[in-house]
Amino acid sequence: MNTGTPNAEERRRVAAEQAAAWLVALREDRLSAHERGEFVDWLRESPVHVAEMLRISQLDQALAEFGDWTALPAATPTPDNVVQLLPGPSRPAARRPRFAGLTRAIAAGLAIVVVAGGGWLALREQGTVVRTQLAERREMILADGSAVSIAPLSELRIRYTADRRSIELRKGHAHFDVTHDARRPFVVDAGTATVQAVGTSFDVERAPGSVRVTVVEGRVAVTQQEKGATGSVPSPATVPARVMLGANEEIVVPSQAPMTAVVHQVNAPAQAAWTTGSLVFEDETVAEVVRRFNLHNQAQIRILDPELAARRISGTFRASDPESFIAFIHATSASPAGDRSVILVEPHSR
Amino acid sequence: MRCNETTRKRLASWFGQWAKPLRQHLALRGRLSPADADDVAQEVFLRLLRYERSELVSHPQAYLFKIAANVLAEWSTRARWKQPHASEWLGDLTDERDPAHEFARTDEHSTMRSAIAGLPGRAREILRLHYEEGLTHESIARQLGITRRIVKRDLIRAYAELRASIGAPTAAAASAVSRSTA
Repeated sequence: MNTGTPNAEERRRVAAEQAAAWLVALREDRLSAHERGEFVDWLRESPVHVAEMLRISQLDQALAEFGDWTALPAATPTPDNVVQLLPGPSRPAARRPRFAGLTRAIAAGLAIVVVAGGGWLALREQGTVVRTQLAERREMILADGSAVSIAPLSELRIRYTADRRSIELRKGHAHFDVTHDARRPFVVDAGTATVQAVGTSFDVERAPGSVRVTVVEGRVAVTQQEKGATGSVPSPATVPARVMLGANEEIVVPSQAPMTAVVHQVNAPAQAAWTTGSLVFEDETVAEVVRRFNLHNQAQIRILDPELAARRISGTFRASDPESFIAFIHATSASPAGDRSVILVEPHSR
Repeated sequence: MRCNETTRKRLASWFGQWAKPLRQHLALRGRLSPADADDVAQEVFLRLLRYERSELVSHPQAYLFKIAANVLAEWSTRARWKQPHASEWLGDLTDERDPAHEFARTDEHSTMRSAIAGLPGRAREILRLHYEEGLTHESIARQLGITRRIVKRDLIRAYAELRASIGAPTAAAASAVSRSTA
């Protein structure tokens, strides 16, 4: 009975989210002719888009007519996943501490770190260390209201002082929404590169050979670190000390070569879509798409056909739904071998 | 800072064009089932394709709602022909004070209230500030000490979550049934 429905449901869910994003844009902003054009194109892409746009408009109307806000139980503006950065002695916290353990820790006067989701983190004098596991995505709101979304298999250290908000991205990929505070710069150290922001939204991915920085909103300054450029000492003439990046701009800072000031124009919101559980690809190889999916899921996709791995595709998927991607591959594979060229390996069979 | 009043009013009036025939249709049929809503959307979609793109781009929402209104109006007319006696009470039912309509509204209202209550605290507060106090994203961000982007993202998530938990407001009953049988 459920054959085929998960994909239809998934498409509808994605469409509902897109409709919600359009509603937010329509309510708040004066859309440019270009954006209105995009809205029209989106509507004319699928009847599901039209249906979801009509539904979300009804919801908007119902919310406008809803007069019972005060009768609702009091809403705490503080979200559940707030990390309190308290000073404390060096002590690794256990994964998902039990309640008794927490009570004991409080009794012992130890600092408590509140964080939603799995994984474990250690509280140290020099900051809070956060690690994410495979398939674990986490969002944290920091003491100043800035938000950080952490991709799977990442590690970062958060340290706030009176004059500086420091994040060390030790590995992996994170997205930052930074509140404005001119007196306290927000600095992300990704080894090879440091990124400084005042109030902005940007994405930093630390890969073995390079660091990729993408700006969604505002401006950041990217600086290459000398310590990262081992071997070749870049000559001062070729090394830009700092590169300023604006919205929808991206730079890749290599660790083994001097950084060039080559800035790419990208669709930054699409690059940052992983923070809301979507994976958006534009002309990306299947191998790269699979790498992203595997990061976000316990079940791992294997590509058995090298030709398929090199193929370039575009599309939007739910990060948590590798089956939809496999169905997409099967649907777009002309060859009958397509059925066996890609498989999904469940975690227990690995 | 208040929201852009003219934008809001224009959106509301465009929506109103569609809301009236929708209400009439609901009065006639009891509710717009998800399947009906999809049929309407399908027809709206086909008509959207017949327009010049440049024409639609001038006021996309106005076209969307106007076309949806036309489709629904035609549906209602057809329904009236099929059920001649229904036309007698159609006029009465479009009256806002109709008890059946009132009941639907109360029912809808409580569904809405529990759905909103189920949202995370921050998202709910953002919705309230936006709809009740009419604040812009900017003002909400300042008031809650978060960024504008987070306000925007929370709003999008809240809409998507409400959409998932109540279907469309007027299809609440239908979606509850389909959920329980799923």
